[in-house]
Amino acid sequence: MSGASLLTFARGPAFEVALAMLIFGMVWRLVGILALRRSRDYSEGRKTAGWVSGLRVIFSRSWPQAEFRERVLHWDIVSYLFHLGYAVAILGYLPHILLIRNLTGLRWPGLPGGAIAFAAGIAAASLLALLGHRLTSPVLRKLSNFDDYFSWFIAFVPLITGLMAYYNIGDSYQMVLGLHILSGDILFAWLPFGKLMHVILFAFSRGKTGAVYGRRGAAI
Amino acid sequence: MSRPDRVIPIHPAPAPPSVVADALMREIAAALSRYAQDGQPHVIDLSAMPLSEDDTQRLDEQLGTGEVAIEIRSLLYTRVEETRYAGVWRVRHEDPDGSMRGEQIEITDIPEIVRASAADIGRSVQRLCADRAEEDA
Amino acid sequence: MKEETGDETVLDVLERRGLTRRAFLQVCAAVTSALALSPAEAARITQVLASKPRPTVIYLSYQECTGCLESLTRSFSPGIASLIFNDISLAFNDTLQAAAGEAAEEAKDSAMKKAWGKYVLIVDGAVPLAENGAYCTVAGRSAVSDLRHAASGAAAVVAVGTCASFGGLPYAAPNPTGAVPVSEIVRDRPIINVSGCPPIAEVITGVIIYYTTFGLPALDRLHRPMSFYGNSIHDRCYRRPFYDRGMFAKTFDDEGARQGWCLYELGCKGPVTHNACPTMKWNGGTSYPIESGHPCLGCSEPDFWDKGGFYRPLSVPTGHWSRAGVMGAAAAAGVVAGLGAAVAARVRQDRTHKPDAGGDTNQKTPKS
Repeated sequence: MSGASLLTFARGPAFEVALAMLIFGMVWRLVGILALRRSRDYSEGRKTAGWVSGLRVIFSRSWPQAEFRERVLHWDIVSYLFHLGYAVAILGYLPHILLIRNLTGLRWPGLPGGAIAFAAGIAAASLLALLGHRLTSPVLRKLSNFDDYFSWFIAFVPLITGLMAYYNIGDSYQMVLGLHILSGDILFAWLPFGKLMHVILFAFSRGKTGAVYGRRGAAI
Repeated sequence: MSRPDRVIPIHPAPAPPSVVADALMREIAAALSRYAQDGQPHVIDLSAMPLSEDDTQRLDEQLGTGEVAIEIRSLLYTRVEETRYAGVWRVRHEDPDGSMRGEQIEITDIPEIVRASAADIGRSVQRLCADRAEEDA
Repeated sequence: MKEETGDETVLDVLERRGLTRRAFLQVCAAVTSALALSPAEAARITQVLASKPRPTVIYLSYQECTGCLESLTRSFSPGIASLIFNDISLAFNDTLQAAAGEAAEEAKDSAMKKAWGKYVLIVDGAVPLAENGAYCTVAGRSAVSDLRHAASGAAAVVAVGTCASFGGLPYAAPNPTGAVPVSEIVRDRPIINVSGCPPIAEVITGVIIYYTTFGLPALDRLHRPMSFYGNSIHDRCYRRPFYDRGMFAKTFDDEGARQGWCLYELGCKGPVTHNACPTMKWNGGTSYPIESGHPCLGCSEPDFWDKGGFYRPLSVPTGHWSRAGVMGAAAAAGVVAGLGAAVAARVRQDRTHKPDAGGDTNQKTPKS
């Protein structure tokens, strides 16, 4: 397949299918989880407004608890670097913004290419470091399954192909750009079906934990 | 219906910085001293160079004009001019309609195109003899 | 257009016309500058043109608009075209020649016969295959059989324009005439694609002169000469700094457009288009489309008509389906699947916990 036809495929049918899978998967998982039976809490609520702690926990779990801080802080920082770099590269780059505008009608100003490349470079480096950590830490290795490695891979490929396209590495720009968009399509399609769904579910799981324990009066 | 207030100005591409003229002058100097030592002529084709207007102007200023100027009216119109430096020539070829067909800087005693070739001289000998014979007859 | 043929060189022809070696050196200088030859090639050109028999060039036009020939002959330096057709080579071109009808066909046949196996075939336009090629016929012969015949006697084929190179406009969906590029029909001859709609005049002449003097140039994957198609428009674009700085024109008359910012958002295909426009420019070096404020259409690339719209940014999906339909159907299917999963989970819970009714249903919470 030539670069040009790959690019046409990635921008055309592949994107449509990926978008349909993304929306289907997101709705499926969200409805499926929200429509589950709630567990009854037989104890008397110590606090009436459990949802306040729910909201608080969504944010308070975004940094390590004091007890663990010394042990995990550095990996938390690397993880933050990755997430911030990834977000800047996705939301700050004008070609991406034009895609979002095409889908939603929203738009905002873009950042210079150099800033995007810097953010993406940081994200790629931290993602590699996080993979190294996953592979070398015995506990993490035991906890990891195919989902973890595939999700890592499918988050990494758009990043590296995007950087390659930006710096014009590889002998066919169209091929690299086609691969970049196709890997983005696969990321979209896979996102709801694996652990990458945490982009949505993190708020629900933390909120639920916060609300339940808050109601019971736990300091959380 | 003209709406002058609606005319959108077009920003032409900015001229590239003038760096080629200096490089060319260095090449000319090196070629001239080589020619002085071992008689090796050298040709620089200017059409292959990304010359800006500024470059052309600086080249004109630095090379100046010398004592000799030759016009060749053949298939094209060619103007051969000596520069201020003996042994450095500028050769410009133009179409009959005046558009530029090529420009070279030659480092030699006399540019090749000025010389009458042996073949042309040979043909001239025949023609001249024929003409003389006709006249005598 | 001349009748003579044989093993004459450019030098011989000029001498026969009563010109001196100086005229020959002028041609060499013009060729050197037209091709922007390297010093090594420039040193060889005199010897090549003096010793190599000048080739016959046969120019055939099929499914095309004659824009390529217009570009070639109405270039700002028409002299170079006459140089090719009169001085550097012998030529047949049915659009340019005075002869018409059977006389023209005869001239073509005799030119081909005299130089059989040695001539350079220039093809302009796509070739339709549907209905046995009935959509394009010349002198009662279909374009496809005409091309097969002409190509079998050619040393090489130069496909001029995007139609001949990649199918171009006739090839665009739904391609009612079954048009194909030259490379689909000629498979056993070297092919040089000089794409563009039209190609830059100086590129057409440059490629023809290069081939007739030095032979096959270095080609890219799409058989285009590297010397003209080696870089993308984007790589050589003077507006590139605006792209890098994230400064884009959003409409054709906003402040960005006035200031000459990058046209990516208006659909510029410069990043995926390979051509010499930013360096050689058009109309005698006046400007090129982007310099005149219009995004690059990508006319020198295959299928440029069918890439989702000239004004749609490169990063935006080409999408032929109804966006709302796709999203709505996917969301509806998601709701059904989600409710189904939840009901199944409840049924399973009921079944598991029935014996000790009222026991806390131990429900899973998703991990963060």
